[in-house]
Amino acid sequence: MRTQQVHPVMIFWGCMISAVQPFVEKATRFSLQRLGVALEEMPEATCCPDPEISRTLGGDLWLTLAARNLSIANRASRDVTVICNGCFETLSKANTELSDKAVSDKVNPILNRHGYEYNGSSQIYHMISFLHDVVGLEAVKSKLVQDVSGLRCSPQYGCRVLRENLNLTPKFDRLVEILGAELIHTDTERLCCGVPTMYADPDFSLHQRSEVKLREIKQAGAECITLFCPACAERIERAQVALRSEGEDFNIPVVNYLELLALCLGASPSEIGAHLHRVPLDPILERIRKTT
Amino acid sequence: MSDEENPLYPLRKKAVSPVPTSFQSSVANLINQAQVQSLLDYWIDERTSLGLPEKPISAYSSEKAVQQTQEIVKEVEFDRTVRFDWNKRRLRT
Repeated sequence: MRTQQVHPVMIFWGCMISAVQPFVEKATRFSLQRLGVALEEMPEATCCPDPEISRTLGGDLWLTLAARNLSIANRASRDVTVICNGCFETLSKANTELSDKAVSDKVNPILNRHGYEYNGSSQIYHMISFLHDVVGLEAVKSKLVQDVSGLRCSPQYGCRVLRENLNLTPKFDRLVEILGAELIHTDTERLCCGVPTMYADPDFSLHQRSEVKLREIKQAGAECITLFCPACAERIERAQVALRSEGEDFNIPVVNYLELLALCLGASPSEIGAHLHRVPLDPILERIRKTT
Repeated sequence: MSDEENPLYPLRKKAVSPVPTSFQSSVANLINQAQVQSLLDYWIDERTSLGLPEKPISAYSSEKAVQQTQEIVKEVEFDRTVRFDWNKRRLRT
């Protein structure tokens, strides 16, 4: 087991968690504090920026703004931990591209004019690997005071985590299992949630991605969907609201893993804003019980 | 004369944005506030009710970060690529 105090982590919240999912931010702060992790926020961070729109339209801007964010962590001599799969893709890919000196030599003169310098000294962790590898699975387990035994959870890994060859999905599964939940795997668990296509074709995104996924999860008997990516969460919750108007009431709670973890570390539902979800978390909250 | 032509100014062509309509608000947000997602008052209230700071210490609360982003946008000529109107603070469409 790791020591009580894990080295400080500089967290990159991204825009969605701060702006539309503060319950995830609250659950993260609660969980890291209970796990003995000193949390530092990235001061003056901007949008990562997003890997779809910004990267497609302006590769130079995408890389320069990502380098600016990374250089803030470089200056503080901190590694970066990211919850959002989109932010993770941007920051980790930019970090890789910038490791080519020819690339960083093009970006650094722009950063220098604003008082920043990219030096490549920061490692980018997805929260999955941070919890699993840096904090340590056993250390997390030792701090749990409640569990969700028997809760049938469908994992939504998110496509960007699948694209990176980082072995994140088995770690994700193990993190869910230590909370006592039962993983319900489906054939569509690796299907995109629908976010990237919703810009071009909202109907396709809703019916050919989100609905297909929800239908299979419902048929498999899962009681909830758990994930890390706030964009997947937003998409799958909103899809359920949209499909209600078409007579389809899936009513499957979508919960960030960090919310589940916070509950199992002793947080009360109201303390972490569980009531702010569009699809109520009741089936999850009913399963929480003290560990013996 | 096609339907799109203006009878008063027949040689004037309708401007077509290089940015797809569905991307436009995100691009304008990125330039105006250095974040794609806006932080609305409703969520500021919910943040404070959860005991979180009103705004995180990112570009949501840092004018300097927004200014630097806008300068970088100009330096890499992203504003020209997306035809951003700095006076109206929106894309030319």
